[in-house]
Parts: sequence; structure tokens; C-alpha cells
Amino acid sequence: MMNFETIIVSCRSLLFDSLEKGISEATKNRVEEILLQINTLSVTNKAIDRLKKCLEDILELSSSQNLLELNSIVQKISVTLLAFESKPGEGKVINQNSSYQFSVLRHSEVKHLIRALKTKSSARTNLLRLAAADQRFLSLNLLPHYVSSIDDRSSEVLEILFTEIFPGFGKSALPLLRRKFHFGSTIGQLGVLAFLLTFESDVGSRKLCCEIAEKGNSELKKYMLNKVSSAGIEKEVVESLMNSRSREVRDLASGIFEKYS
Amino acid sequence: MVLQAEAFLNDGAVEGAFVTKSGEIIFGDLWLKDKEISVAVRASEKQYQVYCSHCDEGVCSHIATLILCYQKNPESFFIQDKYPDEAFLMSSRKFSFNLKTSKSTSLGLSKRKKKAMLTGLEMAEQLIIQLFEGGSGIGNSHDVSRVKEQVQRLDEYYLPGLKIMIIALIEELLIKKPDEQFLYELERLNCVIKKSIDELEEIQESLPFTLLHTLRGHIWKYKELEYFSRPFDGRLMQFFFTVNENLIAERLEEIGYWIDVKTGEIFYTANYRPFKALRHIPEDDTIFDVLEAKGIVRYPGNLTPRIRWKSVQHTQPKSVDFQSILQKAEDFNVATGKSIKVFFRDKPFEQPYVKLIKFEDIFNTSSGISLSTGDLFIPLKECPETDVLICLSEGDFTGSAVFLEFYINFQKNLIEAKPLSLVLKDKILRLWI
Repeated sequence: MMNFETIIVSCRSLLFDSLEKGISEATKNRVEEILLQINTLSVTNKAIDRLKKCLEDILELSSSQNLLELNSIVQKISVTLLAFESKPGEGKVINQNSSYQFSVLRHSEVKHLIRALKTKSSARTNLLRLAAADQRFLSLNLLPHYVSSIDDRSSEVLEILFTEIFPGFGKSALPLLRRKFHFGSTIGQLGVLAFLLTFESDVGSRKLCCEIAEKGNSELKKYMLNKVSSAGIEKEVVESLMNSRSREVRDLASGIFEKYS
Repeated sequence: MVLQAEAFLNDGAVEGAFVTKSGEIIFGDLWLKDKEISVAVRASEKQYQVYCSHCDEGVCSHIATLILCYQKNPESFFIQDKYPDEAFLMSSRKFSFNLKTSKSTSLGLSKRKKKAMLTGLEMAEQLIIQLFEGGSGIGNSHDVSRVKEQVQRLDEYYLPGLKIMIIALIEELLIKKPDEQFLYELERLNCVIKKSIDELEEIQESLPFTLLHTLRGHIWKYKELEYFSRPFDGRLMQFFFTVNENLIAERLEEIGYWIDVKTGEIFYTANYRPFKALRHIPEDDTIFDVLEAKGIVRYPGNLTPRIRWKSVQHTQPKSVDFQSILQKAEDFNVATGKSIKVFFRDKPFEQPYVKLIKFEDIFNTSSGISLSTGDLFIPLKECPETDVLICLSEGDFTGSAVFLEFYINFQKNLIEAKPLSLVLKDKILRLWI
């Protein structure tokens, strides 16, 4: 037996097809199919009756006006069927150790910087340098704007971000940068990794090393092994990296492993 | 002179035209053969005091152009507090001539204009029906330009708001396959058109003080708003301020959300600055002070009304203000959920549904990050504001409230919220700047 949601999905797909290809014989066949689906429903109510009537009109009149009417009914039903609640998971997503800053910054004071970062204009390097020098610009609500530039191609921009801006935010930038780290090996991602290895707690840092050993490419592994000491990485992880396909990774891992013994 | 003025007008010479709040002075710039000419006219009792940067004395075709433009399309004039050189204009000579300006604060809707609007609405209806015909009728670039040309004509029917809504839909259809969001927006537009036709057929010659009239593109003057909504005073505090670049409407949209500290009512202000007239219209900005506003008037609309005021005085916020705001925060319960659904089902709205909600915690859930409030959980939209919220430390959330903007997520089939700001005991943290 069909359920109501499936019928709404079928109606939506009919509307998408009509928008792309217009009303054709195929449309009529689809309408007939949906009407058959509606007939198998065990319940009936006003919304279903209206939907049925509208589909019958489409069959009879082949008018685009009826498709608009169908969309209207489908949208009304879709909004009614929207969900609200979602069951909570286990862990809270909040950084309990952060000390953050929210500056009294007006939009007019930051608009040039935001625009320069967004449009990648040549002025962004200078504006970032000025921002790094002004403590007020290390305001947490500006952090997403800076983070959006972590894949910038300019080495100067990346240098200011990773040596001045993000360290200025300290641990408060951790949750966001953690979310933006996607195990890529671009210069920006390597910068994020360096930041995470510096500011994560011991446990967090060890967990990250473990994840990189599992998911990261050789470039990322090399970078990590160069950054961590034997105290910051589990012995088993180093051991697993000693079997890596990359010779450089194997050598670096062996170097760290020697320190354990 | 009038013929010359009409020719200038047809060439689109008027760029950036303004009218003062009192409706007494109109001014603007004309572009004629790469020459910029500033013109201003003050009208009182069939007499005019005029200024033209090009012609030294008397009434010239440039002045006549501006007056004609105002007579034909007063809605296209942006409202300004005052004319910068008012004293100079007042001291200039007075003239009497035969170009009557229409009364700026007329509260009627002429038969001619109503008829034109109805014709335009029928045209708009046909345009969206066309989207379903023959694969949208916009399968190639020739069709696109034909449809766009038709849409542009909606300006002539006093429907600039509808024009923007339709262009936005067409542009979306051109760059990607239609999705659920597209169908929702299409229905929203269809709803505005249908309800507009019903409304205009019903009213006689009075100005409809409705959200539909705003959505059709009417620019409300302070005097009109003052006539329909009783002005009041308030102690306002800004929750959030943002600037959006609307490339389709070719303007910057500066939106501020406010709360009346005394009543707890939430409002928004919108300053639309067309790219063409950016330098003429002062920009709005983030405000951390409390505003003692006089003569606040409401725009027509549902739930969260748009407002503007006559005058404001800035004062420093006190801790009692924040406490008062926190007391106004509501629990998120089933009734709130239902009212959100009704809001989205009713379709004609200008800004999303917003609410100040008591805040407890944030959780990681199967569908992403959620806010816990009362017995329910509100899924948070994946956006920079949510990113900033999760960067805050745990202690800050106790007894606080969060200002949320609600959206429909068609992919996940649920209603989710964007956190805009967090209200604490002694400050408001804006999660985006």
C-alpha cells in the first residue's frame, strides 16, 4: 500500500519534469500512475480529494494552469508534513575550554575587510595585516570570514592567517577549524593541521594523529610526523605508519619510533 | 520645453531621483550626453522654487524633466530626510508655470493605476504559466531574452517588486535544475499574484495598506504609514544587523532586527540602497546603543513588522535592559512550531520568521547540530553563525536567550533555525558581522 509522502514525492517529480520538458503524453501517463496510487490509499481527507481532483483536471484539460494548482496543493501539504524535533545525540558540541572575544565592531568598520576577503581583491593582504595588528579584529564573529580564506592561493594571505590571526584567537578557534579540516593536503589544510596540533589538548591531538594515519594522504602524514614528537603520538600509530607505501613517511615514522625505545 | 523634457525622460536621463519626507522638494541628477546635471524643485501653492546646475535662471527643460518624471512615476523616487541645500533653494526666485506635480501624499489608488496593475498581474500570471509550457519556454538564449523583456515591462504596470521575484526565479532556472526550493518560491509568487488580483478587484480607489502592496513594489512614504498605523514611541535595541547584496534587484539591503525593550515586540528595519544611488542614500550600520525612538510607524505586514521612525536619541544600554529582554524570551513549544508552519504555508512574507527563544544547550544530533529549548530541539542551519555559536564556552548559555531566524530545509524535510545573536545578562553577542 502506498503512503501519502510517496504520492507527494511522485507529484513533485511530475512538476520537475513538466518544468523541464513541458506537458506531454508522458506527463499524462505519470498523472494516471499517481491517480492509481491515490486510489490505493486506505484513508481519505480533504487534501487527498483536492489533489485527486486537480490531477484529473490535468488529464482532462492539459493546462499549465492546473500544474500551478497542483504545485500549490503539494506545497501546502509539504509544509504541513515538515518535522521539528530531532532526537539529541550523545555528545555536546561545545568547546568547554575556550576563552573568546566579541568586539564592539560596527559593520562599517569591517565591510572593506569582509569584501576584500570575499572577492579576493588585492587589498586583502594589507587589510589582513591591519586586522592582525588590531586586537578588536580578533572578534569571534569575524572568525568565519577569516576561515573562508584558508584555501586562498596567496601565500602572503595564508602566512598572516596562520601566524598571526588564528593564533590570536587561540583555543576559541578550535571548534571551527576542526570542522573545516578535511584531510586535504593544500597549503591551507596543512596550516589548519599545524594549528590543531598546537592548540588541541593531548587527547585531541593524539586522536587527530590517529585519524590522519587512517585517512590522510602521504603529504599530510609527512607533515604531521614532522610536527609531532614521540610524546604526542601513540606508539601503535607510529608503528602502522612504518608500513606506509611512501618511503619518506616510513623514514620519519622510524625516526620517531626509535625515540620510544 | 515639455516636449524636450519628455524626450529626456524617454531616454532614461533621470538617474537617482529623490523626494523629501515632507514631499515638498524633489531633486536628482540627469545624465545628458555624458554631462551630469543636478536639479532640485520646491513646490508650494502652484509656485516653484528651482535649481539647475546647468541653466542659470528660470525654468528649463531639465527641471521640467524631473517634474514630469515625478508626475509619471512617484514610486521611483527615493525618500530622503531633507534636501542638503534647502536654505539655498528657499532663497531662489519663485515661478509659476503649468506643470502640476501630483500630490506626494495622495492616499488613493487611481483607476488608471489599478487597471494597469491588474493588466500587469495577468501578464505576470501568464509568464509563470509559461514556465510549465514547452519545457519552461526558456530552453535557449533567444527565449530567455524574450521572457526577460516581457518581465522588464512589469515596471510599466507599477509592479517592480513582482518583476524582481520573477527574474530571481528565471535566473535560478537558468543556472540549475529546479528543486523543492524552486517549487516553493514558484508557489509563493503564484500566491502573491492571485491574492493581488483578488485584492485589487475588491478595493475601490483607496490605497491598500497590505503586505501584498509592498511585495508588488510600492515604496511607502512616511506620511502614508503615519496615516495607516498610529505612530508610537519605543526604546529599541538592535539584535542583529546585516547587509545583503541583491544582484537581481541591483541594490544593497541593510537589514536590522530590533526589540522594544519595554514591550518585547520584535521589528525590523530595511534600508534598500540601489547600486545606482549608493552615494545619495546614507548607509545604516550596527548599533550597540539603545535608541529612544519617537514617531515609530509600522509597514503593513505579518508577525514581525518593518518599521521606521521620525527621530531617535542614542543612550547607553543598562543591565536592566538586558534583563528585560531576557524576560521576553519565549519557550519553544508545539504552539510555536505550529505558528511557524502557518507562517510558511501562508506564503506572502517579506522576511523570514524570527523569534527570541530561551536557550539551554546545543547538541549533536542525527540531523546535525540542534538547540535544546524546553522539551523540544531545534535543528540549526549549517551556516557561519552556527559555527560561531559552537565556538562559545558552556558557561555562557545559562539563563541566556537566542535570537533565531527560521527556514525550511527541503532536503532534510524539516524546519531549521539560523542563530543570529545570543542575549546574555549584560550584552548581546552578534554571531555574524
